[in-house]
Amino acid sequence: MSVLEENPDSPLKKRPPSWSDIWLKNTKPLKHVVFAMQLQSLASKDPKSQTLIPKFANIDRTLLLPDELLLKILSRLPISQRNPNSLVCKRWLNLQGRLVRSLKILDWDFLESGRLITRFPNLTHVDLLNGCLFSPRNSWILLTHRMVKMQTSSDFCSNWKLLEASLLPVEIVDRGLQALANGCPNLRRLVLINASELGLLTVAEECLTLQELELHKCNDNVLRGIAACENLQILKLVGNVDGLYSSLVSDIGLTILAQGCKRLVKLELSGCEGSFDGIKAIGQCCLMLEELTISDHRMDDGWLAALSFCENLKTLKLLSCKRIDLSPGPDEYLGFCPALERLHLQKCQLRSKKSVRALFRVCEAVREVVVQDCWGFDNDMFSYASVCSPFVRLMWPERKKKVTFCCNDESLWPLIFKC
Amino acid sequence: MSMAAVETKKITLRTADNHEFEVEEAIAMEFSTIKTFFDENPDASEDTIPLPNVTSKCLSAIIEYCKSHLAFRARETSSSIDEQVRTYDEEFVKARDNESLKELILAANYLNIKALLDMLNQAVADRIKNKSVEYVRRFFGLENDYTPEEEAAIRAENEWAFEGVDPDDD
Repeated sequence: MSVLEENPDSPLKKRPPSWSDIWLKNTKPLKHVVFAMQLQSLASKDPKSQTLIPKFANIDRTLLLPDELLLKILSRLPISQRNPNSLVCKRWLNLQGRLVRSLKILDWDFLESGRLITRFPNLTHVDLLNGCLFSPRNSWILLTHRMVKMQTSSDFCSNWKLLEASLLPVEIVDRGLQALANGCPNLRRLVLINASELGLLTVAEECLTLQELELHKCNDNVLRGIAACENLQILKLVGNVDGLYSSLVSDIGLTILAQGCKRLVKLELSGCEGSFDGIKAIGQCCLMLEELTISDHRMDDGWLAALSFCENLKTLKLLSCKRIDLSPGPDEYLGFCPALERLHLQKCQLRSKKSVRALFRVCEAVREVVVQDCWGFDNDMFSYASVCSPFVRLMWPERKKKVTFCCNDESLWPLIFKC
Repeated sequence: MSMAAVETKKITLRTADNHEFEVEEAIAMEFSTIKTFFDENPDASEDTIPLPNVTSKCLSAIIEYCKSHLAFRARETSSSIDEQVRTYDEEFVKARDNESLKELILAANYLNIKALLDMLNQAVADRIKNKSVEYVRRFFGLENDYTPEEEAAIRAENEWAFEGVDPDDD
């Protein structure tokens, strides 16, 4: 403590700060002027215009817009202008690239050579699906199969092993993942195909903010790598795709996943095998799971009963399922999902009354049922819905009708079915 | 309340070209840089404040802007006021050429007037929106520093290597 502070009346009172002191503290504008001076000295080769202390008025103003202001202006331009802007000059290439957060990579070399990271240092959402496929550039043939879209040449194989033949080898995918992980530490969302657990482990180690992952051609081994992504909240796994490839995800993989990714909120299993045990593991470990989507499953019968372990599940979606559960087991072992609010059935085959009955039992707490493009749904099904809460909103999107009805009033069912 | 003239505090600002502007305190406080100064030093001496990075042309325009917006804010908010504010802003920007817009942006940035800066940034963005590369270069006075090979490489990348994606809501 100095003498000054103790005795406020001392003649050595601290003088009030002058304006110039404060300007020096606020260095932001000063940095601009320094930047301008540096640019001036670089740009101006004409000795006549060079002065010792360049007057503001003489500096070429157009050079002066600092990065932060240009970024603000650029961020207000439409996305379609990004590519042209990158051709204005090298500084703009850099600035424009810094604004890009989300990208779909089409050329693997762009990633592996490091060009991706150089041009776009702030990526958070990366889609590598098409990049993992060999695609002839100038082909006019586009092959689309549900989740995958790729260009192909006219000599594609007749046995439809096209996709497998076009996939980049696992080692190359892993190498690319290494480059990506090193360059995008803030990665939040990643889509890819044909990775191995090693590649995913690299991503898990470097990209701690990874929240969303979509993995095609996944198998039990790869799930070991996914389990290392502890902060994962949204996950989509594609195992088998009819006509394109087959890849096994079984209870083993599901259990490994459950134990590793405890923060999962949304899970989609497409073309996966497994059974009661796998779903049970997920239900027991992933306590925050709110949305479960099961698509084109190949699970063993008896799996429905495991849903009751998902205590916080709010939405259950079944998509493109050729069967639901042909042998769900006795009612007393079915249980139900206590927090379930919404059941969504899309493109499912619902002819098996046992399945539908068991499904409604498990979903008895549901408030909203959406049935879209399903077949086999008939009058009797509504009687199974009577176990659900008294007021269920039933939606038939293709008929653009939304009906709230009381399941217990049997006389209403034929009427509803006619809607 | 007595109608006797109350001395509203005035603050003097001196621009780069040595013009002095006397403004009411309320207006000077719209400049966050100046406001911060006075917040941190409530008993600062009332010397003229030098603004070496702002010309008189810019400062007078900025003072006009702040005066008008203060007046708008003093009235009750309504959709017609919003409409008037929008019209005012459009008029403010319309007559100015590209150079003065840029000068105003630098001045607004220096003085830290957020609303004005956002408005001006949007105005410049609107002027270069969907314009060609050459137009943008002329607007900002930029030179093309790519060699033909470099430019071809970037074009190829833009065409083949990636596709922009609108990110989902974060």
